[in-house]
Amino acid sequence: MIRSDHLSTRSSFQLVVSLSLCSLLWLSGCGEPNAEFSFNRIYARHQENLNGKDFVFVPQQKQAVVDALAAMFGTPNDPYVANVDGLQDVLDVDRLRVAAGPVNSDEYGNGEGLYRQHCVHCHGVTGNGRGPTAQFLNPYPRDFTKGTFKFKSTPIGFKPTNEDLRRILNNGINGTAMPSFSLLSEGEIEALVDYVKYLSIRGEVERNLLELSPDFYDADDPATNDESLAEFHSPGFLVDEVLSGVVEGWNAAAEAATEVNARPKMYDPNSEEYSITELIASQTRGRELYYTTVANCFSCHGPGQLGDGQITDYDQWTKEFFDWTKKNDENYDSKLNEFLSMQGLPPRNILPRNLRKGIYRGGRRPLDLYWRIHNGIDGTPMPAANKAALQENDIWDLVNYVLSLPYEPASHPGVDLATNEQEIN
Amino acid sequence: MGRFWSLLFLLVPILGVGVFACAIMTNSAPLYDHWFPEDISAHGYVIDNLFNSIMYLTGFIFIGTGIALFWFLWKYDAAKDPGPVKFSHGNHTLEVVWSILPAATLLFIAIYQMNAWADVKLMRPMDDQGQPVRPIAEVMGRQFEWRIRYAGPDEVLGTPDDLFTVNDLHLPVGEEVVLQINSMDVLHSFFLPNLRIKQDLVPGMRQFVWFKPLKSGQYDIICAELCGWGHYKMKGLVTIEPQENFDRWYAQTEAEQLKDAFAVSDEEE
Repeated sequence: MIRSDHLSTRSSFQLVVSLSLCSLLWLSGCGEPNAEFSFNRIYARHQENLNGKDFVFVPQQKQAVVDALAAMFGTPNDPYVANVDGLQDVLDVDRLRVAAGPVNSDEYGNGEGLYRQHCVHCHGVTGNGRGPTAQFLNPYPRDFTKGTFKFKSTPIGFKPTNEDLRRILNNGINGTAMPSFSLLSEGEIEALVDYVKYLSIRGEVERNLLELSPDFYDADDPATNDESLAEFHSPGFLVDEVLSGVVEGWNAAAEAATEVNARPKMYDPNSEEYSITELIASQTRGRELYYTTVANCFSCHGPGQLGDGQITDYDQWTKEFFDWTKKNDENYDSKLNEFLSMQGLPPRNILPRNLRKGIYRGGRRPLDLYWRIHNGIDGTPMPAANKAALQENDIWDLVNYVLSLPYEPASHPGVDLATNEQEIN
Repeated sequence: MGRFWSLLFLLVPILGVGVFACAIMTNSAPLYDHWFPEDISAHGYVIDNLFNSIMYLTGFIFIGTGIALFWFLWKYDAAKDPGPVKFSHGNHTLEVVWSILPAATLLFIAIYQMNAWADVKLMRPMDDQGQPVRPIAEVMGRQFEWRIRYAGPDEVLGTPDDLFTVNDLHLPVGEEVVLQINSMDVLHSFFLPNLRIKQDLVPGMRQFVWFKPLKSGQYDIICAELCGWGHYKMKGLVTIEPQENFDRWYAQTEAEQLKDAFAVSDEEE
């Protein structure tokens, strides 16, 4: 009797001890997988297609691109900024280190690994917009590696300014899954801005290398390939011909921002010169322009401004691998399967904005709307305004009109009431 | 070793009370900030008193139950008390006592909390004309941020003079404030710990919260309902400030929202 009691006590002790050991092991974790930049398979395949029906990269060519990128940019845990003219002006390696690497904090509690804490699950380690949660979002997260950004002060084809990126991080993008990070400190925002630029530059350099790589390999004459490869890896090629061009684009951004003269004061409700009749007259002119072929807004945003003028187009980056609008093309299905097998996200249409909702992705300031209309939206079917036909005042008329749309009676059809409307009014 | 289990059970009330006592009394790691945050609202003390009285009541029962459990384990330990088992067929008086006492206690709590609940959830403040006070702003929960829309000078939400901010709510100190709250996507909970306000948000359901902040400063807006992977960082700041500071901030933010000019030299880089 006593002995068995004794035994059971001892075995419960063992149970308690082994359980706590197990939970300790569980708490300490088994380590996270090592973060690595992924190879841009889709663009490599795209280049193969462009180079002819039977062209394929040999493994050495792909490896050469990977090696060159590692030499120029380092790894996700240890980013590197090459000592190249102009690059140091765009990227600050100390800031990059704050944003890169695993999530951590230093001895003063300052955050480290900010990109992996806040961005990576959507934008991905490589910044290609294919993080684990990306497939559930509409629109998909931005792919930085193409170097194309939508909401910026610069015209199509130019990079965004630091201020543009900062504004997006601080305000988020209403109408998309991008939230505001306004509670991060100024330094943390700067670090993330630099890291986005770093990923974008790296991604664009990778694309350029893949474009140029076919010139450095000759399947018919293997003897020359060692020499070509050496040339591919030479600073003269990598830096002068590839990296410098990308860096220059970023350095030119601040100067390229579109200057905007103030909207006439009679449209500003906080100004003494404000005149409601002038504002209404401007909105009426804007409405007329909306339906003209000069501004041509209605053809996409629709006759009712509901964003239903066209609903079948795609972003340029979506259409890059294959033009998905060609639904009847004989290659459509095989291309789609190939695209998806390379972790491409199922192509989604780009819908013109419903102007009656009052949701402005790039910002609601008159300045933002002016930039959108004047410069267009890079990578999308939204073109820049026809400057020969549309003067500054015409664009302000359009801005005033667009800003008035969410408050037109047609925007409040009266069916979108709160579910508990009866109880609260 | 025969007393092991009874002593282990004795640890339950001791550790339980100990954790509470440490949280209330110590203000150092690792229990720093584990008790109530500072109450800066006019009505918060009612909530706190309610919480405290219920905590003391249940704490008293908790300790009593813990000690009774310990005592039974100790007294009737099989190794020390080998005598035969005695069966009881109940005690009418005892059963009446332990039925009526909890019933009376629950009734007391139900009546005691009624006004506290009504003041916070049902009795929306009225203005001089006997109309419900209009909300100064709407706070819209969205994965994973708080989108705020001030009603502006006309005090009506959804008009062109509205002012928009994100995660940045400013309110004047010493004023009765009404906020309209809603959710754009999933269930959230609008939680102002320092103002003792917490209300679940249901998409499409418009609700109101009201309070009177009494102290200036910056305080947290927190989401208190698991709403997705970013729930833990769905935070905003509420800045309580004197009316003139509030007006100045409002004018500045509105000027920024109406910004319509840009010159390249504006860039500070």
